[in-house]
Amino acid sequence: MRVSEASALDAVVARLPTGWRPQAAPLVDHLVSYVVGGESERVRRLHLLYADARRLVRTSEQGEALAVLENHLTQAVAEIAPRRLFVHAGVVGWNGKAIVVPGPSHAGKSTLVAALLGAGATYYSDEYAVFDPQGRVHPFPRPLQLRDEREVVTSAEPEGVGGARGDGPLPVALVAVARYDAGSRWRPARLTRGRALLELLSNTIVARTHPSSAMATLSEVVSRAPSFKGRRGEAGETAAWLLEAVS
Amino acid sequence: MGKPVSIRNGRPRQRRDGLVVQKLPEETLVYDLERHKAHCLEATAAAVWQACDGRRTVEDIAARATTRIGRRVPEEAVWLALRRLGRARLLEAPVEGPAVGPLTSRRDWLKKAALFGGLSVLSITAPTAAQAATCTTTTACEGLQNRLCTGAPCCTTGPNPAPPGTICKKVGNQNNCSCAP
Repeated sequence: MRVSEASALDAVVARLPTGWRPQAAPLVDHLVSYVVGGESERVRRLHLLYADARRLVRTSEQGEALAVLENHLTQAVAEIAPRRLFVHAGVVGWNGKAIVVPGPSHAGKSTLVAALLGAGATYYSDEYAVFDPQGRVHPFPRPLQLRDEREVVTSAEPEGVGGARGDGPLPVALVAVARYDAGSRWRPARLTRGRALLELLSNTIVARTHPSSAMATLSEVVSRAPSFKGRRGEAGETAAWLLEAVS
Repeated sequence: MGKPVSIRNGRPRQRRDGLVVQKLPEETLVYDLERHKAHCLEATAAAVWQACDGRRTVEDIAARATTRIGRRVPEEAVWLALRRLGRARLLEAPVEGPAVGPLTSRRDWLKKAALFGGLSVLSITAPTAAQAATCTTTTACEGLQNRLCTGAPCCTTGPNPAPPGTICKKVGNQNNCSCAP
């Protein structure tokens, strides 16, 4: 990550992906460049952001440039992380094991994760399940992104909804494909291992680019953890069921 | 059911190129690198597929699958599996099996398949990285002031889907963000 003006560094560092740390490695996998804009002497310079040679954004708004930067870095990490598989999912810990809730955006993952935290689970992520090759899941604890009925997003720290942060890898105890459907009752069907693997693969960032390693890792997950699928209504009912199932 | 007709060369052959195979205890997962589709083959379908070496007849395949899964697999079940495997493009050549005519409706085929069991070939299209990532709905995007546009892909499903390939960004001098290419 390079920046044209040192004054913008603090704002950039605040947008780096969760768990980042400095590296002294001489080789760069992915170069992101931020050319800081602004106004001086009646000249208006735009904010420019590049990923390698590709321009990501050209805007007069620094806030937009930084939002695009944050989004791009998170996505880039998910795509190029070695020895880690990123699956779009919510994850909590319970009794030393993990509950994984895969699903696309707006399936209700964050709401269900918040309900699980309120019932005493520990927070791992509301965005990505990060698996190692043994099928264990690691924390990716960005703040929860809770959406109200008007689709306004509010960031919340896990402690604010009653949960503590998890800090180590956990074996997966249960996979639950739980799509929100107002008024539904949670009566899930058990998935076979193969169907559970397809559900996880359909939310895997590198499904197309690294299908072999993705399927190998996901087979480790589904070989050990039972999987269920259904429509859910209120998050509290489903959260209680999931915790009971793991207990 | 009508009299089975022969397949093109009489001996089906499984496709091998451009596939990634992951075996599970009861099922087999197959990823098609050309079409970016993933298929989950239940036990009988997988046993039939593995027996399709281009030398065995349908009768031979039925015998081989019976040995592999430990219960009788009749030739009718093999035909059903071949039909599904062919549709999933997991065979070298399409299967010209028993025709679905007036006496063998699709419903009859489905009933037979349910009766035999283990013949399901479930398929999904694998997502691109952008499709699997977090997206912003059109409503949420248009509710953001232009200094807060997320730069995330806009959601292409849901009540107010955005056109594919759009992101939440500032457009012109508008006060709020838009989903735009």
